[in-house]
Amino acid sequence: MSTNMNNMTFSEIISKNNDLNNKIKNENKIFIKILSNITLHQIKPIIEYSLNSNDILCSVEIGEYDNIVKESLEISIEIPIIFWEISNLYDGFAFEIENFQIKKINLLKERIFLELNSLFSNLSTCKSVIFNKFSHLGFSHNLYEKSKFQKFIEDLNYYLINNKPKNFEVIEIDKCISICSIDKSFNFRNFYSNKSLYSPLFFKTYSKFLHPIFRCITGKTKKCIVLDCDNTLWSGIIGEDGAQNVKFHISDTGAGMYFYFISSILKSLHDKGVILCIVSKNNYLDVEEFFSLNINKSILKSENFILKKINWENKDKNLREIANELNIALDSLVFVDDSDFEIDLVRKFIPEISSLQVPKQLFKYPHFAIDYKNLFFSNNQTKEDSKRNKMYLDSVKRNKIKINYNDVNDYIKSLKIKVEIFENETTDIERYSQLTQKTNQFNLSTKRYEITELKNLISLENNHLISLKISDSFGEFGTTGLCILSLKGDFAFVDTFLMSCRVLGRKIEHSFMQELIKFSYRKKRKLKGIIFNYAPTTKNAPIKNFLDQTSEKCEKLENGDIEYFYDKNFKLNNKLHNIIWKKN
Amino acid sequence: MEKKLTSIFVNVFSIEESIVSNELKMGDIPNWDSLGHLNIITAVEEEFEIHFTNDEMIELKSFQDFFDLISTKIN
Repeated sequence: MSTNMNNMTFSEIISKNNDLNNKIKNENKIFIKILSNITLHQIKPIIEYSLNSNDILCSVEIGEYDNIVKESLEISIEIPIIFWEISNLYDGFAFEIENFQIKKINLLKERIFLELNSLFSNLSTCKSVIFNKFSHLGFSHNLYEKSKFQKFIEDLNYYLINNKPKNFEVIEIDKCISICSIDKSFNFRNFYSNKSLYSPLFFKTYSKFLHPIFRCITGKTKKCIVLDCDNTLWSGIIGEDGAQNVKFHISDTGAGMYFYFISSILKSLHDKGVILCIVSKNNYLDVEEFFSLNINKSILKSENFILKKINWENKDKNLREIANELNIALDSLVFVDDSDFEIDLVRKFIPEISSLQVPKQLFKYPHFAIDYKNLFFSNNQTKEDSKRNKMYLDSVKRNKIKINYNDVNDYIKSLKIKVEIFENETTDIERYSQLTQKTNQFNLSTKRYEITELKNLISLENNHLISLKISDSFGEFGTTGLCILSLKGDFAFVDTFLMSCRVLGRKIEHSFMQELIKFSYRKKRKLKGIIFNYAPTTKNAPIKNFLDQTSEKCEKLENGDIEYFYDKNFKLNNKLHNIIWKKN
Repeated sequence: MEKKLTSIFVNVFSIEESIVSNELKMGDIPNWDSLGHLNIITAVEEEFEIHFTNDEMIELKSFQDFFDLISTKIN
């Protein structure tokens, strides 16, 4: 389900939100708490409906009025969103400050810096904190000279950006205000009478800015963009116009420049680690001819596209094949096409895929593409991201040689896979956090951890964080496996056990499991066994299949989880991989 | 117009249509408190494309008050 509430009135949103809330179970929700020094009750139904109707299940609670720092002490599992409205430090502050001496302004600033520091420290262990950048626009937009209020806000923002902890996501609300316009963002009548500054229209726009952040938190960030060719990557129809005549460059006449801008945007996504693919009803050789003819002129090269399904099959079939070959879920895909027919077909048959139609008015195309960049937002870029396309390209090459082998073990051995295992190695901790947030299919508990949470976990005496780095004769996969286990009493408890889908199918998971069990029994520990607590989700059936196949004993718990037991007799594969334990 | 206003009351206060009558006033239903009042004002202004002054906001205390004032403004 994906809903755009642009055309819905405030009362419709309240009503639809109530209906939707009645259908969603509480245990599946993220809890959001809004801390603020202005009246914000109207934001609750708007954020809830905006996120819930786009499959990010949440419940919003509005904190006490004007008690931000104190309430931040009580945050536990919630994700706080902070609206700190400086114009409402006290009644009329935005006007009175213009009469203050510099000394008084500096004292006030120092006071707010101290409060910000308290907030940073109180919320440093939260999964994520959403903080709105301070704004002066409501009280200075029509003034030519820079007011003291504007300067004050700029100094606070400078301090905020340079001192905020890593788990703070800053939203530039001036962007929301510019989208809505000043007049439509603010309701000054309600501000002066009830401290309610913002309009429902502003909240609708603001809610959209929350989507990328919450997609990241919930592991729903998109991974792959699949593009049509004609009138999507270039202007014209290659089968009719010819590879030499389609328009795609800034120097081309007509619509070429729009496609040049699009190529720049797609290249930036590619370099961030987003997978690019092509699905097009064309002759394969025509498309390849375009890339070879324009090898120096085109920003995008043939090899930038990991998979190309250029044929006359239905596009839904091709898209399913792409997800299958890349081993990613269908809802990780974004599909872009100019045709009404193709977009409707994919929306109908694979609603999980975000299908986006190229705007009919081409001047809107670049901003349309900037907008879909949000779908791929990651707040935690790691070095693996920039290498991801190369890794998938290696993977496609591997699959090509796979057909030469009848026995899968022979194929695995031919890859000369090296598995390096690390214990409590913290230099790659950002990647570990990213793995917990992005891995959905082969993930035991789907617990999402921020860097600070992982650091806290490792600091506890009985906890061990075991990670995997994998490479083979085709290249490196990087850090692609993670386990957090704690050795307590008679049992070892596995809290997190996950592997990136990129490395599955090579029996590395079997070796990983075997090494974890060996590790648990090290130093002659007398354990009765190791317990893997499987928490089912709609996506993590692959790990359940693995556990079902490998464990001889399991027990279903009342909450729906399943405990799988292993002991030291567990042994699975026959030296398919070169395993190296790396010491800290 | 009465039908539209009734529908806004139903949506904003999450109540059954049968509860809405001309006599329905602030405080009669749990959701019509001071914050609920701001919600109904916002929703009515948006849907009828009108604006209330501060004084009018204070004077609007019942469904009938809303109906009467909206009638004046849109006619």
